[in-house]
Amino acid sequence: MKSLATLLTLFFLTSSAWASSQHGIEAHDPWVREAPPTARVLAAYLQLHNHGDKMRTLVSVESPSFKRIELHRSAEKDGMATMARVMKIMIPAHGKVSFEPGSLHIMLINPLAPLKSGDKVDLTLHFADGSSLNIRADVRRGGGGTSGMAHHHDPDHPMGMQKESHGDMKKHEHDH
Amino acid sequence: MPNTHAPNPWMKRIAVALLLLVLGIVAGALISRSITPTVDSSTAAQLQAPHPLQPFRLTYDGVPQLGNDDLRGKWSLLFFGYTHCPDICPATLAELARTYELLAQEPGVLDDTQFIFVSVDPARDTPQTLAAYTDYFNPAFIGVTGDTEQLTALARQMDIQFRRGDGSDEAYNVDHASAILLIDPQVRYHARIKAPHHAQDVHRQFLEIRRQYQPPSS
Ligand SMILES: [Cu+2]
Repeated sequence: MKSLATLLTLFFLTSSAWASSQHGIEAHDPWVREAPPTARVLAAYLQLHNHGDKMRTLVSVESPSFKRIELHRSAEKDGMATMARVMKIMIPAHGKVSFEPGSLHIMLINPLAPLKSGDKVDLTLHFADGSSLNIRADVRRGGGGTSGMAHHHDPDHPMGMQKESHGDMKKHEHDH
Repeated sequence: MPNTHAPNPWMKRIAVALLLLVLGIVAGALISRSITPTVDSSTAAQLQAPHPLQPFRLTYDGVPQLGNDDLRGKWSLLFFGYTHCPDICPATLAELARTYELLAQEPGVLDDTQFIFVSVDPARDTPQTLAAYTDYFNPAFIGVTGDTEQLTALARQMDIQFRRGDGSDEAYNVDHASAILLIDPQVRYHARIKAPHHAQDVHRQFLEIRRQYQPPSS
């Protein structure tokens, strides 16, 4: 009976963490790009939806599988591929931010063990208001193409919102 | 009586509207057909007047990695990057791996084609790391590096830039040119394929360039 209660509690705890409706932030399709076995850095991607009435700010990410994690943005400008750290990412009220190849990504540094397609990575996202969100990402082999830099080809891609938060970020990036 | 005649002007109007619509579609198709190929060939693979690569040599700890002779008699697709790049570099290499698979269907093409990944981050990328890295994408891919001076001497000849970006200690970033460079069998910088890269485009452009290539008359 006691174990059943524990089980139920556990179930309640995990399911609430996944859905995270109490935070208003929902993560969609979190995945980690499989990398060569010797790779010291990997990238994670996902979409964050903010169902709440207040803007939320992602400030850091933690994982038991990596020594260190940073938020990064890749860009392609004047023929140069660049990558820069961003200190915080704003998710507007009722808006979303996409982490996707060729753009925003969660930079996973120094894996404690090699990761292969099919493995899972637990990530904890920390927000400026002190709340956090646990997610589990699938490791999979990413192509370049379709999932890759598709947004470069699509001028109608709804990036507007992201740009807005990018502008805000730029302002804060140098605060540190 | 007027009732039976009433629909006629409407029918006429609808017929005219339909005719105009069809004409519009046909005209649009003709225009886009005549425009598309021009756009394709002129902007996608920026063709340079091929210019011979000056003698260069990449070595790591004194061990030769790459020189002009390694490029002679083959088409080489070069991409500059670094293995601590988790986003754009693996995406590009994955596209190159798909390009390789597409080219495998063209008889003889892979016999004189090589794919070379040049790391511009010799501080962290050793030949061993690079071998494992390129092997993951395609065992036929080659990974090389050299010292910064040697890399600059090679990269400069193809308008390739790279510089250390932000980040400290072992976690720094390297900004690097995103283009794929095509070197012809006479070791001349022949074409630049700009990002974003998609295997189908790279494949098509490469084959087109090969078709137009004039081997040296001797
Ligand atoms: Cu990064």
